[in-house]
Amino acid sequence: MMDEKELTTKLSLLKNIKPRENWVIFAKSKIFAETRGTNMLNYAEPRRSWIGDVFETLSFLRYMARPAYVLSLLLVFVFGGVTLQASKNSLPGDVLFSVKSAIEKATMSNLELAQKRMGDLKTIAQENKVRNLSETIKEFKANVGEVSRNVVMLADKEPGKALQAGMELVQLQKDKAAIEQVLGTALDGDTEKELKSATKYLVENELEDLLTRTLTEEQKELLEEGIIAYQVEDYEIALEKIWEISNAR
Amino acid sequence: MMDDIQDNFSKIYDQYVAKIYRFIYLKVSSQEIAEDLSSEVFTRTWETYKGQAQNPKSKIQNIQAYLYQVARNIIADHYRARKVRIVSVEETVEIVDSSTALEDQVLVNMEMDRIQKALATIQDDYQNIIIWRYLDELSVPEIAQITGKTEENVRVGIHRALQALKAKVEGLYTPGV
Repeated sequence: MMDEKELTTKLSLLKNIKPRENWVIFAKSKIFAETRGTNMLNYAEPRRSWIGDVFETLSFLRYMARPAYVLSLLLVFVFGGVTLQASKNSLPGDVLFSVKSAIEKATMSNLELAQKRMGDLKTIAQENKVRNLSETIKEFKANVGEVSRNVVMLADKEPGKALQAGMELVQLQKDKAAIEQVLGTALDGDTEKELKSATKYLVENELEDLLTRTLTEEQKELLEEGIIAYQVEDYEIALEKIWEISNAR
Repeated sequence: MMDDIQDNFSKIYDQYVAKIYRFIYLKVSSQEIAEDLSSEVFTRTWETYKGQAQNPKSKIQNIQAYLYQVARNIIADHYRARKVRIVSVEETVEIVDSSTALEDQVLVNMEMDRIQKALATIQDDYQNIIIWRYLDELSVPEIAQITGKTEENVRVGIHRALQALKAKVEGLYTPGV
């Protein structure tokens, strides 16, 4: 006969039932992401044309003649400065991120933007800011898509610059893998395919070019290693070998 | 303002997600369904929680009791939709301690399987009360708050639930059963 203590001991075994960590993180980010989506639908304003914006700005100038409005304008400038400063540490999904994003888009390339979002993902992983996860991944995907297309375009039009961009792409892939390890899950299958396909295209172009050139013994060895890496579809290593060849010239 | 509400709910989520998941898992015996239903519990609760600022009438008095109530409703909806009560516990449950030797691990899994099967076959009220008392380690007054019963009734309920579970477990240990 089993006594009560024995029974409750057996019951305590069921405390081992725990949810998957990945699911816990993603379910939470999904709940808050859906909320942000709803808010955006509720408060979205109709898009104005740039002509409308110019007229609006000019019409605002008429208030400059009235001293009472000068103080308000000053406050706007001061508040604007504070906002810009505060937006620097914001992450996708934060209120001030739109300010930071607008500045970044005006001053950075897509590759730099993708690297920035990768930095944000690192921050999220380190500080467990899961509510920002979904938005950051979305931004990252959009930027990587652009980078992949740009690398393919560069390979066709400016091969000299393409290799440098390709190496940065490889670094991005490595960072992505490191982030995935911390988060314990793959970020996105489509992004992976886009990155791989762009790297493959670049490697093919570079290998074709190198096969027509006169190389040193050291470079030939590196080229062989690069071709083997290409054949086993390890395009990152292949690109690294090509990079080494270009530096060994 | 919204960020504060979200931060508070984020803490609530972290505190209760494992308990709510386990509560649901023990009733549906499927990781996938337990994940879906648990997400639904927190999504619905979040909708009410964030609406509290605008509508004080919908104020949640006891978040723990509220979460379990939503979970029970969602489980009931789930079974109503399927019209079938599943008691199979064939799926293996993830064990966290990986240092245990394989042989011990198998024995632990078998024990877990037996107790889970037995728990799944007793009446729903008894299942809840056992989960809350012995797995979530809630006090009698806390269970009384969730169930809306008196503390005395809860004590009697715990005793009866344990007797029912004991009978089922012993039945499972009897050869040929």
